[in-house]
Amino acid sequence: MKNTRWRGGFLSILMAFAMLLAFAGCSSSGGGSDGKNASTAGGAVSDGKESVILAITGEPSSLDSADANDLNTFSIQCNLYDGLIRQEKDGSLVPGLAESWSYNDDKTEITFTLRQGVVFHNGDPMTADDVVYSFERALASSATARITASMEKMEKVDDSHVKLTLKYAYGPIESCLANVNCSIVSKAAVEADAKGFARNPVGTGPYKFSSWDSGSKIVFTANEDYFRDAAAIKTLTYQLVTDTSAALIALESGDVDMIVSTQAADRENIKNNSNLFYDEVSASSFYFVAFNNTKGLFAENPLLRQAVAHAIDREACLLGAVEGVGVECPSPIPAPCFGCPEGFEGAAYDPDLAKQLLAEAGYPDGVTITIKTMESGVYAKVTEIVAEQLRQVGITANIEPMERTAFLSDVYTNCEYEICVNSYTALNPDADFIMYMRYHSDYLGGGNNFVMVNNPELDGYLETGRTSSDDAERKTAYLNACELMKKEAVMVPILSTMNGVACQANLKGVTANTSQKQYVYDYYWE
Amino acid sequence: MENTKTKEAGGMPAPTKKNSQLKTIGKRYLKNRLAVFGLVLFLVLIILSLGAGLFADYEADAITHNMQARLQPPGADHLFGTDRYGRDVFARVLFGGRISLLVGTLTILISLAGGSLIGAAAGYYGGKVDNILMRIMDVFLAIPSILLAISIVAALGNGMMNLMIALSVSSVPRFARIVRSSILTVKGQDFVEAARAYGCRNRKIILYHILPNAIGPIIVQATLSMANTILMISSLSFVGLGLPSSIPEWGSMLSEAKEFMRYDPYLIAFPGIAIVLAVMAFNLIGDGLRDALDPKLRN
Repeated sequence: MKNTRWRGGFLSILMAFAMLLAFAGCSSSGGGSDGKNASTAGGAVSDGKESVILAITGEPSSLDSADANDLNTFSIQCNLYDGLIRQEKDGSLVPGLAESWSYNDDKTEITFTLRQGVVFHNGDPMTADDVVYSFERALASSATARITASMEKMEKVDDSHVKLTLKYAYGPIESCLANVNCSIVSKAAVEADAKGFARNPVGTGPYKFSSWDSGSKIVFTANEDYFRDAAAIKTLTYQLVTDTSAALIALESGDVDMIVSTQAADRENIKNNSNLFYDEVSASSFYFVAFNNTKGLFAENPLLRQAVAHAIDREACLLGAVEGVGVECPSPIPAPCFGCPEGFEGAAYDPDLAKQLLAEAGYPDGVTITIKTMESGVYAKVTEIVAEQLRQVGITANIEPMERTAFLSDVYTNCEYEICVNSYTALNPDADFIMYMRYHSDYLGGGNNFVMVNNPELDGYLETGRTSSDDAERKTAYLNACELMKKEAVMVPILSTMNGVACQANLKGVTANTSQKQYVYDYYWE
Repeated sequence: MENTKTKEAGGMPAPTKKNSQLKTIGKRYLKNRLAVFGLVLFLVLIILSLGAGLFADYEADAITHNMQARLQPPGADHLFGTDRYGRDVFARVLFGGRISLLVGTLTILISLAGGSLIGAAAGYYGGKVDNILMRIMDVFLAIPSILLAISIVAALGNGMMNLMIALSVSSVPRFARIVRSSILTVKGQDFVEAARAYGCRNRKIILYHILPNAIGPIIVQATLSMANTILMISSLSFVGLGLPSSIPEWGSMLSEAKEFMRYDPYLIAFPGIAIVLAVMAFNLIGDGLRDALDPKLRN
């Protein structure tokens, strides 16, 4: 019996330990890497410091540019590779490995003049063959589908020219070409070891791959032969710190130099810390409530969808889920994206109207629904607030929090849900990336259009948005699409979060990025 | 000593004698100051959580979001402050006590019933029955109970029913062991022989003669398990495997508050203190009962 009593004590100690670990886990992992001069939180003078330790909360899925399709992976790879076109940290598009380019008359062919004298990390010169090979690889990979959907083929014209043929004129093609998926890789290196390329990449970017210690850290070193001159930061270490609170403490103690994706609750604290620099920008992603528009309760009953739309108070969601650090998202196109309708108003928060709609929908005594969502972070919080708001109008919402892979399989792949809370991210800040494949009937079900909306009118707007090269026309098309989706209550957009970055105050050149990219090439110590 | 002897010899204890035995046990318990403190703590806990409705409104204070009043520090309006959704922490701690006590008690009752049945059968019949039943229990005991509970909840899904099943299954083997060993010590005694000589059936012997005389250790085990169970409920809720998140529960309150731990420590302090007090109360009561029931510690 004594034993049992101790087991109780042991459990409580275990719990306390778990909490302590969450805080302390970083201190053992951060220090002592790569001969870095341990900087103190006091912002000591960093004369001659040439390394940066950047805390990441998750490892990249791969370091192969043709096998990347999430923001975290992009943000790391953008330091390894260059594309023909380069995106600056302010979002502007400038020549990268191509010195210049020109379109044909109907904008379906682009001819690039390649930069001469660029070498890969392994010393080989970059040639037109490498460019063609890189695009062939990217086009063949399923991971790049969202970026390369409009591209037909890449051909070599001569040693310094290549020609890209498009399936149709595509407005945001240049931002696609600046995406990591369209990076130029060394043909020789891939052919030498195609499988090993994901963990031993060879590109032309400002940093070369040095080592990857799974579950711990990834180290890059500056490419001294970089065509824009070598970077000021010579050693770049990505340190894996899965817990965001632990990452912040590591930053405060100087164990890491920079953290990305800061927690909203920590924002004030970071801002008030004179040793730290903080920057934030609205993310190109948004959280929303989605209905299954083809099968189940909400598909059969549009009034019920309307009732939910009017029961949701975006302001309360923004406050409760992310401390108000973000913006309300009235339309399905987040603010940083081209095509976001300015001054658009989403379904108004009106609980009385919602109750009335619920009664009209045939449920005067309320209805019980099950909301599926992911169990982590903002998803769970938004869902909890939404469920409470629905309860206020008479809809009993049971929450089914799911583990990420189970959620992806149930909701994205199999569309087995009636209502869910989810988020979309525009890989490039253009409405096409967050609209076409999500709501066009060509992509119904199976991982893309999982809200299962099938509306010819909407299809038309999305097609115009994708193929028109007239900005005004595209904007109008997206405005119409947003209006239509609001009218049909296809889904209920709620909020966009802020992407926050924090670093030591004497690390300069750091800015928050809509797509969470960190261009370490621009960083330097002062 | 005298009383027990008479009772044992008689097989059927006289009511007055039984009462006086209870009295001596009660007296011994009350002499133990820590045990009395545990009992007082327990009574306060019961009054506060059962009477939670008198202090706060479940619907308005503990469940309904109120973003205008979020993250308010403890004060006159909100004794323990408010959480990230503007819910009153005091109300949530009180109503959370209900969940812990309810789920804890039911779990103990279920596992006590199951464990007694298995343990009694194994202990009384011995031989093959004993071997088979206890080896099965050993398999369960080999898995740490928290791990077992986590796997069961993960497999069955969240919810109060599944939580109770998980916790009961993981604590049945310990009850079975205790009951079996108590039975083994009692079963060879003269009064059992006497009952058998009367021609009592096995079931009657187990229920009326053996179990009442083996009850002491079982009660102690149940009380100490209660403390353990309350901790397990909190632990499971902390990792998101307990009840739906809107229901006030101490463990999920802790989990919700950890983001704010550095800035609003009260959010983590109050549910944390509640867990500590509840667990402490049951541990102290359990210890007190063990000492009071132990014939070797009579003086």
